[in-house]
Amino acid sequence: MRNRFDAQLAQLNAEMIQMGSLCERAIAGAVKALVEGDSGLAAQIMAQDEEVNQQEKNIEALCLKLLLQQQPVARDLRQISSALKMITDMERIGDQAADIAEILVMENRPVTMPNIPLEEMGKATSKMVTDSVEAYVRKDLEGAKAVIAYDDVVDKLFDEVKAELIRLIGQNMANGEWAMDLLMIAKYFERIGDHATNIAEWVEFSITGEHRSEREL
Amino acid sequence: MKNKILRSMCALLLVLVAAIYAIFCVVMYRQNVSTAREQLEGEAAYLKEVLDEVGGSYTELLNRLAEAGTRVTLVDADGAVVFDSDGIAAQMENHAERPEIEEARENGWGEAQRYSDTFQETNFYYAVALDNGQILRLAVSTESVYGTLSGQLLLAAVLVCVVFLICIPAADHLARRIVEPINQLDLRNPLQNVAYDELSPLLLRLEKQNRQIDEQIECLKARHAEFTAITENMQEGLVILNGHLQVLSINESARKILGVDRHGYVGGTEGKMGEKDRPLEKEGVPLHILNLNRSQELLQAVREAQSGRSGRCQIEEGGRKYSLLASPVAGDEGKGGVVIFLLDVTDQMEAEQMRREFSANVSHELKTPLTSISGYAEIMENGLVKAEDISRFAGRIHKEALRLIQLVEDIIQLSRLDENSTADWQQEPVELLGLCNEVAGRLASQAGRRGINIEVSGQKETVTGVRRLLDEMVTNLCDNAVKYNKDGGSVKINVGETQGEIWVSVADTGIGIAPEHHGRIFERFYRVDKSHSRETGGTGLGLSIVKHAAVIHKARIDLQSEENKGTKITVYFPAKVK
Repeated sequence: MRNRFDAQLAQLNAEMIQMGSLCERAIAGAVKALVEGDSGLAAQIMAQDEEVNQQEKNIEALCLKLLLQQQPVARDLRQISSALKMITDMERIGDQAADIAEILVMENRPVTMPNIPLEEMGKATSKMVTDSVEAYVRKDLEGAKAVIAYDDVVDKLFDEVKAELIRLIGQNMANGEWAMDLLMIAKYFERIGDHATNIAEWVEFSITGEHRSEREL
Repeated sequence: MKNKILRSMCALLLVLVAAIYAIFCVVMYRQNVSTAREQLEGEAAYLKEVLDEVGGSYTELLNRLAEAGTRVTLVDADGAVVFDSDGIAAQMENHAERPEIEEARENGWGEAQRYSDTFQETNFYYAVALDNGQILRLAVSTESVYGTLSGQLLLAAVLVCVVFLICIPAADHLARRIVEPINQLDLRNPLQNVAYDELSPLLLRLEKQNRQIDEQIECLKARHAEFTAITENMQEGLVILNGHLQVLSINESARKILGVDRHGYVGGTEGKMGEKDRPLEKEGVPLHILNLNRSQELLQAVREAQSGRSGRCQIEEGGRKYSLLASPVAGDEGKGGVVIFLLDVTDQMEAEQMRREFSANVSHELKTPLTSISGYAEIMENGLVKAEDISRFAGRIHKEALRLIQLVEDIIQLSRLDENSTADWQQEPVELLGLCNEVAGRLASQAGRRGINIEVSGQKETVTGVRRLLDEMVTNLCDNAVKYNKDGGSVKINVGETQGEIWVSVADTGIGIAPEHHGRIFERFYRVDKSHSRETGGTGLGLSIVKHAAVIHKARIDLQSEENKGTKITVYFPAKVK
């Protein structure tokens, strides 16, 4: 009985890593498409979002099956419940990467990128996603904490991008639409950063049994 | 075994005690019976004498007699009971049919034995015929066999208790003594035991099997060690996965490539058999291959392998590129395992990249002078050039053609060096200081035009090498030193020896080379400043030739350079070039 349960938990772990990997690919691809202006890649990312959604459904079904059939307690329960929470964030990351790609696929982009730290922001976000998945894979508490702390960097970059874009719109209204798109992309990056933080918090919870939000209460 | 011996002994004792008791009782009973009979016979004979003598009425006498415990009955010749000491004679039935009475009537005496169910006793009768025809019968009752048996039950119980009290510890001790040598058998060395002869076939067999097992284990260990030695020492990474894609075995190279030890996983195949030979895990969670590398390409390749075809992909790990080959392993049930091979292809890919760049560069470098030549020639062909300009144009064409020749020569030289066969080169002692002076002389006019001073110093040193290559090497170095110098600068050529190593250094006071270019300037066609290369001329192959020449002489090149201050390149020849 326990053996079978362990095998299922191992499977859950593997599926989680796979989903994390899919998210990493999506966000890294979105950043690459943004930097290189590769609309083909962007289209590909949009198509791949379905895989992330499918994976979320698979994991959800597996978690519910485990909860009902095995009635886990303590650590096992923590692992499963945090997995259930994490996949929601992962799925959102996938969606938002696809949303970024959708903006990039559109034709109305000017040839030159304005001089804003959007690329840097994308890379920072991508790093956060990678590190949060890495923290999950390695069960690395320090890594998870580092990701949570790193969110400030992304938030700060978002403020910079926003300020710069406001200035650009003020100067030249002609590129206003593109500037708004860039602002949207920046916002998506910022949201992805938040989701990565959530994932890291759940990693922390699954290791220590204590969630950040509880502690603050 | 001990218990069985003990149980058997107890059972045996119980049976023995019961049998002895039964025999004893039967003997006792028989003894009783014969005693009773003799007693009756004596009494009867005595009474007969008395009654015959007395005659007439003797009821009173008989009554008195009966009080002694013996039952006395007097029967008439017709069988009617005249007197009975126990009962009322008149009420008793006719006794003529009783066997003892009948016998007495015929023989003068008779006896009989009857068992009374009512009283659980045996009645013993003795009858004698009196002279008056009457028959006197005496009867005595003895206990039956069963009576005797049951009468002595207490005794029997006591006996059994005593026997068991004494015998059980004794039996226990005995059983222990029998079993002990068997318990203490040394099964590793069966033949060393001297317990029982009966055990020796078993022990012999055991010894033989022990030897067989030892041999087989040795054989397996050797094979395992062989396998481990191969897998652990090979450069390629080898990972074996089970049907659930969990890591069963991983060799040293793969551990390094995938960073297993860095992340605190335990298990694996290193060490002796059975010790660390278990699947990788961390905190009890078996390690899935995705824990090591979660790239989608890898997963896809592994899935491919699971479906029975071999999968290939490339992964990047730690800045190096690996080619991954996943092959299926037939499994017993459903999904089979997967064997993963990891090959480091970084160098290969870099070499390929360089080859591609080289071809592109060669084509480009060859095309540039040709385009010029073709252009000038076309203008001249169309008669667009005035007669007096023709020589200038021809001069341009000539210059470009020379450049082309130089380029082709350099490429030929390089490809010859590429083949690297030292046998083709004639080795001879070369005196370096003289060689440097020659080169300096050759370049003096070129340098003089820009006010650059070439200075040769040092001591005479001789190395064994190919004069033409060494000449080319120094020439290229000096040529560069002049070309990339500032007007009015200087070039210092120095020859010397330190710790057995002979060296030649060429230092200039030129534009220098920025640190980021240091690694690449020896590559073919690599130019630090691409925009100015046309002014200074050159093919971009000079330093590449220097590098190859150095390789052929097993020499090493040291580069010291600082931007805008100058460059110093030193070639060190190995200590023993003979």
